[in-house]
Amino acid sequence: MASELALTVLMGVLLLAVALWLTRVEDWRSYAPLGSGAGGYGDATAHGTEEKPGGLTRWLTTVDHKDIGIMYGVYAVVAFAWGGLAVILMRTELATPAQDVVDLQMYNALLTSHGITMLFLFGTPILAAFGNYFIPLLIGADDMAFPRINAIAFWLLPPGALLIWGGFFLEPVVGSVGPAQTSWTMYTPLSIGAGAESYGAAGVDLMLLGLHLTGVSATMGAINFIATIFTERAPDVGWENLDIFSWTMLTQSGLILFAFPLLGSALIMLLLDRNFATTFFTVEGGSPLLWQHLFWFFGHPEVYILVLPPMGLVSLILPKFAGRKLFGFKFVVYSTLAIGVLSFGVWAHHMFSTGIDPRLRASFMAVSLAIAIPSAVKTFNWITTMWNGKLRLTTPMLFSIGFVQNFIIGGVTGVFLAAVPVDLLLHDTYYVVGHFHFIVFGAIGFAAFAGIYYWFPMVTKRMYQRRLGVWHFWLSIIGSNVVFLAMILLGYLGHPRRYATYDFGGVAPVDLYSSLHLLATVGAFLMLFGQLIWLWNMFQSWREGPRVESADPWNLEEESQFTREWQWFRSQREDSVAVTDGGSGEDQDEAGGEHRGGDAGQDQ
Amino acid sequence: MDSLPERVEGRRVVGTVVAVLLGVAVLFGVLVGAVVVPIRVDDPTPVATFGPLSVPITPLTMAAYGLVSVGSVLLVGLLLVRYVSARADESSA
Repeated sequence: MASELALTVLMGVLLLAVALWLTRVEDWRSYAPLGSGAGGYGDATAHGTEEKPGGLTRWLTTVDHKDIGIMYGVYAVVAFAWGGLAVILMRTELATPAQDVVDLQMYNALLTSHGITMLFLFGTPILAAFGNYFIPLLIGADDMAFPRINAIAFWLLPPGALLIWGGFFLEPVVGSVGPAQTSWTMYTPLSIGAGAESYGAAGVDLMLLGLHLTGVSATMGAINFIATIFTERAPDVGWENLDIFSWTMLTQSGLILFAFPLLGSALIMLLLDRNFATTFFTVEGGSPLLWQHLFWFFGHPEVYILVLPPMGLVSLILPKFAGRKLFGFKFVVYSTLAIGVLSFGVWAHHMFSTGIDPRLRASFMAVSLAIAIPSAVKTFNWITTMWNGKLRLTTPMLFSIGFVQNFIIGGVTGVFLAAVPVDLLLHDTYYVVGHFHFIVFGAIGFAAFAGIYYWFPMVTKRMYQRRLGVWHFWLSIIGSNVVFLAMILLGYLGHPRRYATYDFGGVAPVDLYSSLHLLATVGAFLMLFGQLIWLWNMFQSWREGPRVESADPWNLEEESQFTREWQWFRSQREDSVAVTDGGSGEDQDEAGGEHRGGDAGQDQ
Repeated sequence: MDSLPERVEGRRVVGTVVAVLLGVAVLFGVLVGAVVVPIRVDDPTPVATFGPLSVPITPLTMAAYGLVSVGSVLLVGLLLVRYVSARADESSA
């Protein structure tokens, strides 16, 4: 006991020392937007780079929204790789009915880690990457409203990831602690500790704490986005001409404010159940169903937290290459808000098979069906935008069109699940897995790739290799459809999800299951090759790609769609040319914080 | 450099997307009829009834069902797109 106390005190002293060191490592005020000491947020610019320290210190101490955006992006890519490799191992295991690649507990751990990683460590951060980098540019702000909170929100994520993945690292060292095997839903009583020794033990606690950190991070980020969009818009950016991506990020942030604190509270209650013998979610106490209600009250809005900004990205990018403005801009905004509101009224459709009151089931079925309407409105607007357009099939456009197609398949398969009788047949089968993967990878992932390719020239000042981009697209869309359609068919055949092996007496012959699983595994490897090509393309092009020759690599001016972020890019390029031509630092200071050419229309 | 590709007609691209979606519906109909129904339905000669109409469930009829059900929804949507799009272009002209 005394040694534990001493260790705790030592850790406290260490933390204090780190905090003191951080206060001294740099003069933080010198390159924060408040550096002018005026007490406002708009006096000095964070866009200028002349005040940033170099090297690692820059990245450790930056409060510039663009730097933080890049860090969110890199973080998300690392998480994407982790989650992707986890699922490749899983799919390799599933290629045959018996257990022959990873042991069963490792499969469960990979399953849990894949879900949590892709949703919390890849999905939310990659959207925060776009939001951080581009929202201030799109709305004409100098930076986010709270730059330091922005930095703190990001820096909560790496320890969050370490805690979530911690069980994998600790298992070889501390045998009794392993990775959590609870699935991403963390259903009780399993997650409370039934079979604690074989289900990760303290590894589950670490994961819950890590999740809590990522939730706090997302909430801080959301507050920042809301404050930024409400208070930092340029005078000529009113609500009527706010771009569609900012609208979706604003709505998403609102959802986060209501959903994530609830998840945090539920996680604390679960931790208390696990470690302090409370009975919030035990069978004899508050009941496992309470966990399901709390989890899904967060969990379903989480789907829209993840999908609304990608919808915004596609709504922003699609018109750029269709040669015409987004059709029905207002309706796309209204449908975004409608989805935001309705998303809190559908959670119990995840619980249709739990025996809840049929009247409740009927009402949740109705709202779940209703939420398809605003989603269909958006799809209608995207298709109408393309219909009379003259499309340029650039890589971001290909991914945007892929988004629309996958979203239709994911949406239609979801409508069927909203119906109670169908749900009761297909609940907990691979059909559900296929459906939601069409949305989380087929739609959200594709939109993220569209955004990355679209803004790659601005962020890196270089151009990626188009041929590799096209390969990436085709491998991704063919691979994803092969995997997810095979899953839907497996679901029709009654194959239960979450199992490492399927050499059991299922509804269909094992050979049939095996063939479909093999097909899905082949599809997964196609996707893997696609993502490797993408990774190489990004890495190589960032280092050695041809430099962009103009601030308008997509010929947007021709279409009167040269939006504010590209205008900012032009001003940056002109400034750097001025400096190399002998322009003075003062010139750069004057120009750096301005968003030139503010007369061009916002994206509508 | 990602030299910008030539422009293509939006209708052609939308048509391709619709064709792919219809293809998926037909493929699924065939697979459900050929693989799922024999396993999950006890009746050796299953029949689906739509009001007065009785149709045997085979890969062909399931493919037709996929084509008609998905196709009719997409057709209505496309007709609406075409109508609204033409009106919008007229009003903006």
